[in-house]
Amino acid sequence: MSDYNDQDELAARRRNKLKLMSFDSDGKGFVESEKPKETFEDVAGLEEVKKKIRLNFILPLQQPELFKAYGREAGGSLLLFGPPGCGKTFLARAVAGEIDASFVHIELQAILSMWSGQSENNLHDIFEKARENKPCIIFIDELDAMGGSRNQMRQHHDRMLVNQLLLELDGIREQNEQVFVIGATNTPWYLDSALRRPGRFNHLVFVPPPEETERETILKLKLEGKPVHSLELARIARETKHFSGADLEQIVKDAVEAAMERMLNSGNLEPITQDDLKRAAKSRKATTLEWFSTAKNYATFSDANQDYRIVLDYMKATGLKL
Amino acid sequence: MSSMTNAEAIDVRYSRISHLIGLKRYKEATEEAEALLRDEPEDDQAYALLALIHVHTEQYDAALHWSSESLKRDPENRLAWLVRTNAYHDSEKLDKALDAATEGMRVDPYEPHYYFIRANIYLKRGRYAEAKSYIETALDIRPNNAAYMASLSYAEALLGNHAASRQHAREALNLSVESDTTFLILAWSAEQRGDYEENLNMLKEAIRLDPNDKQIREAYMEGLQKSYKMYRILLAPFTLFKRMKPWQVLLIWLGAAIIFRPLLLIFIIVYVLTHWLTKLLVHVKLFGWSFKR
Repeated sequence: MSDYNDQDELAARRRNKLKLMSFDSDGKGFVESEKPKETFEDVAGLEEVKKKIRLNFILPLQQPELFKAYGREAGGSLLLFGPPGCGKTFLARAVAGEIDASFVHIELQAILSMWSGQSENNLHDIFEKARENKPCIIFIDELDAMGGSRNQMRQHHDRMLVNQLLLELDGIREQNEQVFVIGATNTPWYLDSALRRPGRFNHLVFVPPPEETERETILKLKLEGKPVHSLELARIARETKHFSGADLEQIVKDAVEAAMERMLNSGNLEPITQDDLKRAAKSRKATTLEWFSTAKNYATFSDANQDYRIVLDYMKATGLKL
Repeated sequence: MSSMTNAEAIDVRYSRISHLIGLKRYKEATEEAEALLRDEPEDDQAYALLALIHVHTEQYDAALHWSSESLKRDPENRLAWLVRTNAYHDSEKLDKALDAATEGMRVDPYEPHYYFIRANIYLKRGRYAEAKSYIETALDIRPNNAAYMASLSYAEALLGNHAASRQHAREALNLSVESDTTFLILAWSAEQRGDYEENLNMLKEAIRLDPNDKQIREAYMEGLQKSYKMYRILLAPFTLFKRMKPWQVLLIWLGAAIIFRPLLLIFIIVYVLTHWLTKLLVHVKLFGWSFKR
């Protein structure tokens, strides 16, 4: 567990009063559900990412006087980007778990309902709700769906929603201490450039695919409770370079299916074998490769601010050539 | 949704699909369209939207299939005809694209894109005056379209009217500076006028806006190559050949081979060397000394 994580009784009591708010199925209203239980301890690896989040999000809230000395206040925004299926959503939930904050989760379906007929007032209501429930994290998953480039938008209404988002983010900066906004996107290059100005989503954090040891841990977690036969997961992890967490989950599903097929033939409980996993891994390609190919183009040809330099560095460090 | 009529609810679903297409979220858009078709299996617009998604993902056979499903249900579905024309055009089936455009223009005579597509096809076929006339019609219908204006600039350049081409290029940029297509067409126009500096500037803008477009990437790399004067000089005869008929090219090659054979061989060797050297320089400039194994 992190050194910074409050574990005292007071924190535990506060934690009980916090709530997670998400949208109902129509995306029109809030429903409350349980607060995220995940913490950074549950996030395998990503040490650099966690360090950056601690420094910008968690510590200013836990030790405000220390940060005030540097002119820093708790609050602000963070943009997580990277290939799909690499744990951006999970990471955002873990941040909420770490700082005992309410968590408003805006998903693609809710964003789409705003686009189709609902007004930008809905967005304002979300931010108001967050301000009433401080400390609060507003997590906008698939941020590009809400904050896409206004130049590419045909409808006036679409542009208004981006304007509203900008307004709310500026509101956060000026008045709303302890309201945090985390955005996540697979395609940061589609975001409106105004969203990236200081005070808005100016902390850009790259969430890469899991490393070898993390892949092993993920495989272990996904296989937990299933019948297995002397597996060498380190080997599978070694052979699944660049695979995302979602890819690894799919490999385990394929292996389970293979074992179940054998079970149907033999009538006995058949364990998942090393061969099942190996075959499943061989039959799949890392879905992150397509993302890296696109990201490389943006990093090489369209990166005046060097925002995606980190992606090229990552590719170089891991020997990924596309 | 309960207060909505069924027709309104379907309209909302159309706009969700269109919005997802606008966001380039084709997987989600396909899921939405398929879900709509499960609920409304005879909805011609849902089929047309599915066809549109497939044009965006460059799956032209699928786009033609779904557009024909749409047209089976409503032979006058405007989107289906537009998608069909685009699918044929983008897959280089130009005669079929012209036929589809004719049908599309019958059901939707004020859709300027049909004129634009026709113009593109005539530009490819060297029928520049006809192309220009179609672009002008497209601009009559939609005068503020930057890509159409850029195409007019290109057509004028191909017709040798460089002053008019420059004027239309300026007008296109006044209309939009955020369209990769406009910049790409303006780059071709500048190249045609022999203005290599502007060609490269336009390509730089195009690639900034959409570096993931293969056509733009290739044009940009070629533009960088052409920024080397030596390469441009050696490329000049080949550029000239492109404008000639095949028999003319063959005749010139034969004549040159008979009269200046050693000179011709030296020219070819120097050209090949320059081509690869400039290609290497461009690669190093963009990607450093790293090569795909």
